[in-house]
Amino acid sequence: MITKYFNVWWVSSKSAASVALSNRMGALLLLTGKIARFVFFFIFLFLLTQNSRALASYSTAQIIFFFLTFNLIDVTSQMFFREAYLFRNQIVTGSFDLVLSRPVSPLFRSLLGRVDILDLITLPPLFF
Amino acid sequence: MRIFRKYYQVFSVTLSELFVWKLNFVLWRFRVVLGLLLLYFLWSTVFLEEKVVFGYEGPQIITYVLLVSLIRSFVLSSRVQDIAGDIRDGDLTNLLLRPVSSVGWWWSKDLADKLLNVGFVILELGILYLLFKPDIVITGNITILSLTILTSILGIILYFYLSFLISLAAFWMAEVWGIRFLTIITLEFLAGGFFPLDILPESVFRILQFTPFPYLLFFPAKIYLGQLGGSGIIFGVTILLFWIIFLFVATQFLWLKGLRGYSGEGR
Repeated sequence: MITKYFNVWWVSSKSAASVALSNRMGALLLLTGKIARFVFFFIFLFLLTQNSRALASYSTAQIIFFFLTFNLIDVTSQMFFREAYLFRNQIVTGSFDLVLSRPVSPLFRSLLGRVDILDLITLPPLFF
Repeated sequence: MRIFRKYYQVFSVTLSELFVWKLNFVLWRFRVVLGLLLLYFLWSTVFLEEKVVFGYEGPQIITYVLLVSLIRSFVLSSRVQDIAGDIRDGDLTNLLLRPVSSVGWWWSKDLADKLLNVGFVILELGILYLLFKPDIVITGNITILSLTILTSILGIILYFYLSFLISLAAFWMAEVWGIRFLTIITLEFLAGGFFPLDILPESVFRILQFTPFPYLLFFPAKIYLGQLGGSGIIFGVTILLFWIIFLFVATQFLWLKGLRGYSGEGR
């Protein structure tokens, strides 16, 4: 059972990665947007902590650490659960029928149907 | 008057459409309020121990945060991004066959979206004001109020054509979500949605003044706070008008160019 679901997850994630990377310009812009969001927030927090004595008694290092931890959890969860973002559209357009007709749990498919390869690319820099 | 009746119908139908998924809209507003609360508490915490940060006093920053939230509700709320999907899926054909101007059609849809968002944001800000009773800057200066409203209206026009232009990329690209996402992220920060842009290093701020972004949120809010002199306002309005004209011409050109190659693929 677990092997079957792992195989489904692996195949669907590979095809999702192929789809994401097939439009190279789109993928590059999306990746740039993700990095830009991180950099902008980082600059904002850095400026804020440098120009005020303390932020609720947190030091600059503590705030940056908190921000990086949040990003790590946020990016990791989004990377695995990206399919959930498409759920509403599937319901509204009726394409959820295609999920229901497959011999896989619809809940599993709707939550873990794909890994976002672009989120995976943005993960390693957070550790350094 | 008959022309306006057509567009009023588009406006009215769009409003009805927005109410079809009520819970979806309410949850979207809930998310917006959470973002506003985050900024409100962040800036309130900064001013707990200090009176002046980045040259701003506490009430000025809180006013900025609340005012930007209001301005954002009518400047940055738009349906124009739907054009990209319509081009990609071939649904644009439906619009082209109708006896309406495409720009008028999208303006009507935009106004409906803006009206709904403004209604909600006024309610939300009213509740937040009653709950927290923040110390804010209230001005009775008619000139300042008029200039704030005028530059906000110009901001609406600027965003309409900026968003329209980005959507037109769908004529040449299979997927425009990437460019749209990058623009949203850039706008959130460089329009002044999170903080007043003049807290950035001076050289960065000077360059930013020549881009269209600060004129969407930062510029009207800064006028309201009374921190811009006559020359600053004239300079800002000049740049703002330049970008509106530039984006209008670019949109017209690319719309016609895109239509020449449009094949209604997907229909």
